[in-house]
Amino acid sequence: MPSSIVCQNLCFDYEYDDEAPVEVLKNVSVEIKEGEFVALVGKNGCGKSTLAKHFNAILLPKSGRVLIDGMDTTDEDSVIKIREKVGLVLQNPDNQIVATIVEEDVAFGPENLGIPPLEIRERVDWALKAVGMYEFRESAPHKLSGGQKQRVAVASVIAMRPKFIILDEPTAMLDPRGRSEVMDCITSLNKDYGLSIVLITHNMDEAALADRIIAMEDGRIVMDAPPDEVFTHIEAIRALGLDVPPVTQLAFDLRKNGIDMPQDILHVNQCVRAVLRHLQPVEGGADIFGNDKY
Amino acid sequence: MPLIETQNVTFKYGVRTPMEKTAVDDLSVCFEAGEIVGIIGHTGSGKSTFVQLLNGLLRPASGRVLLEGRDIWEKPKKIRDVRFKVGLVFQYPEYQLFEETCRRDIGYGPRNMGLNDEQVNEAVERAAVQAGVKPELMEKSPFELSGGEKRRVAIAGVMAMGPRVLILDEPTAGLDPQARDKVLQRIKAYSETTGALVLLVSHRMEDIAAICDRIMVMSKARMIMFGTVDEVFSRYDELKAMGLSMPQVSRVLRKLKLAGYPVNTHIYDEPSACAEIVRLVKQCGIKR
Amino acid sequence: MDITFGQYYPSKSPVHRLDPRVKLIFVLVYIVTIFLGTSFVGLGLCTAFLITAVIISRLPVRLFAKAIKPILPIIIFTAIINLFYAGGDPLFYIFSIAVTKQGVLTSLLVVVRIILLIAGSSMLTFTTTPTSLTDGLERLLSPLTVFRLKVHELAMMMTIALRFIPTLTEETDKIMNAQKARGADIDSGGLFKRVKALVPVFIPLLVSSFRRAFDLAVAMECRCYTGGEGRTRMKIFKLRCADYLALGIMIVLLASVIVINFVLGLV
Repeated sequence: MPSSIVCQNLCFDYEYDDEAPVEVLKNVSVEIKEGEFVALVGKNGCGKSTLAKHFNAILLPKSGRVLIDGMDTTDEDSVIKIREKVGLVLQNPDNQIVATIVEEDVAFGPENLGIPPLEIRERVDWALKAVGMYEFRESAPHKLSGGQKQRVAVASVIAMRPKFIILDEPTAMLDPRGRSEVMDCITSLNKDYGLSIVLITHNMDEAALADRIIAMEDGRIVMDAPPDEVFTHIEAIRALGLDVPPVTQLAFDLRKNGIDMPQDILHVNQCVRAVLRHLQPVEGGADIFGNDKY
Repeated sequence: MPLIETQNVTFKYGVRTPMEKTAVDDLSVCFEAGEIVGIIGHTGSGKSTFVQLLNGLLRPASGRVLLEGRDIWEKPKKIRDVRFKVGLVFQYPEYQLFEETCRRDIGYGPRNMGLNDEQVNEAVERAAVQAGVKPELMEKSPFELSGGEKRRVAIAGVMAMGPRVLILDEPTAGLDPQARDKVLQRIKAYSETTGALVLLVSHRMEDIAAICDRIMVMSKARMIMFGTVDEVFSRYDELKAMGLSMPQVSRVLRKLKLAGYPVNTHIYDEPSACAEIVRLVKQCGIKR
Repeated sequence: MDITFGQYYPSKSPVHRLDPRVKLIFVLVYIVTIFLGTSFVGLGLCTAFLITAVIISRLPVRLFAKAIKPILPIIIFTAIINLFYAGGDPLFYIFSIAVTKQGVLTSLLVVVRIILLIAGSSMLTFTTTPTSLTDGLERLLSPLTVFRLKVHELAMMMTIALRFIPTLTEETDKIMNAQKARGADIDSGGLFKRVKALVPVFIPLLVSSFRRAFDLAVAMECRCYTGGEGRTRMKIFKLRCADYLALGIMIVLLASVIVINFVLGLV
């Protein structure tokens, strides 16, 4: 049977000492299946991180249920099994690396699971190769760049051989190069290694890489659809406080001006091609799509 | 006379160790009052070191930094006075907030300047307006605020010193679009109302294009380009080779131009780009 | 900024490659040997041994000079005390205080001992990374868990401390610079003023340390950490020929010093 994360009528609130509890999740029901690449988007404070922490029993529902492969997260005996299946990568790579040497950090999870030493070695090497950090296995984490550290954090999670990886805004603190390193790594884990991904982000160009986008607002799921469908509601996405790539916005505005453009434009070249379709061909133009990735 | 200028400034980290690295190499540049200059460059290109040389947090190994014509290291004991005139907002400045209330925190700089209570209060009120901190937040703890609000309080803390030069290192990093627009708008307004020089370090070319008059490009400890937004972005191929970019919509227009169409490529914001393409389609479109 | 703590000196010498457990035991026995070696012959043997070890380890001698320098005043002080406070036949007088032959000998012995002690234990930190030191300590002490000593927890704490020292140093630097940019005056004034000036640095540092600690706790939980029980380790410590050889040398050294003591009739 394929693995799955199932939330049924999940409610959660944070309780402060002398104030009324703050409702963070309001009756959330959602199912995530094995092999999916899901982007979970929404403004800061919309409850997306709180929801993610329910997926591996870091937080437990106030009411409703969260089932991982049928195991209830409130069942204490299943907690370790659940966390083995669902790994979580946090935003700040500095705060989640435990050991002083890269490979020892990656080994930390499998060591906790009581895996025999030789197998740990195999898993560590595999995980570091999967994220492209094998050559740095003996480095000290604090000497790495942000993108490299975050990839180590990802390796540390996949070394536990999970079915799902949840990434909580893994690129928020990185520069453009670090961002693309981490995003390439995440897509490859999904496409080449078949891992299910739940990516939390507020960048729509990152979300667009997913098969499915779930948008949250004020503790509720307000949209759950494939990217091309979500992108037909640009106005709504912007209202949610999300970052829409400028070309996507451009395509949308051109459409409003009566120029027919596809819905799913995210990159410069897609946009240029779509505009060119409306123009009469000219002689002597240069090759403009040459070596550009997008 | 330029407001601030550097003359052949060089700075090295880890001098006389195996890790010695030149972070700024023989850099000479002038900035004028009232302009907004964007500083772009890859991580490690030396831009963060460069801005710390301007306010005297780092001392150049050789070369001089002149503020209003005077070497800032003329009297090393008076270097604090330079820092009041050259305000520097670091990346993620909200991590430096420490006081019990926003009012007290914004007043930290003015108090260090030795102003009396009345003057401090005046400076704080002015900075709160300049940075867009709502009055009802002033008595709250900075730790209770949202990310965007915290960021603006931290920026107000530097604006409160009334600097003639305001330097901001990635002021919009990690903010959502609305909060980002607000911060950029406040920065532009500060330059317009006070006539100060603003230096904006950013990875987001959209931010740079939105508010800057000129752009300085750094790579490998050196200044590679310095010119108007049009001048710098017209050298896109070189920027790209350095791992830099320009606004997405401008890249669309540039490609259309390369394809042989009459397009104005000096456009960097989305609404104008849209208007330009609409015009182009009217002019060269396939007649149906 | 780059900090090398524990003063590890990277190299691939045979001493560097010894099992950290062996090195730890070795240093312990070596210290005992120095204290047993009450004669110049015994200490001479220890010195000869140390010099050989330094040569094998390929460490520059200036490293040891640097390690001894800070405690030089203590060495001189103990030397002087021992010089004057020993009975016996006066050799000469300084300010009418007798300096005896025994005094000179004891103070010489003491000086040699302290130097051997410092140089020997520095050898350990120069040739072993803090990480493997922690690892070695954990494994050596693990039998003590029988006595409810939280060996694993202790080692984990050491590891996390080692891991976060560079991060927090960097962060302190950043906050300090940010406050200096707002005119903080940290480098001048009296003690009270300086301590007060550091409040704007300490509070943000504290806040961020808590945030980091909280994140780290979640990250560790996510990776199924439940304490030391049932954990395995990726790195298996296996004694190699060199390790057995080192243990052998150690026994020989200890035995020789004891024998010398007997021969000289000191026991």
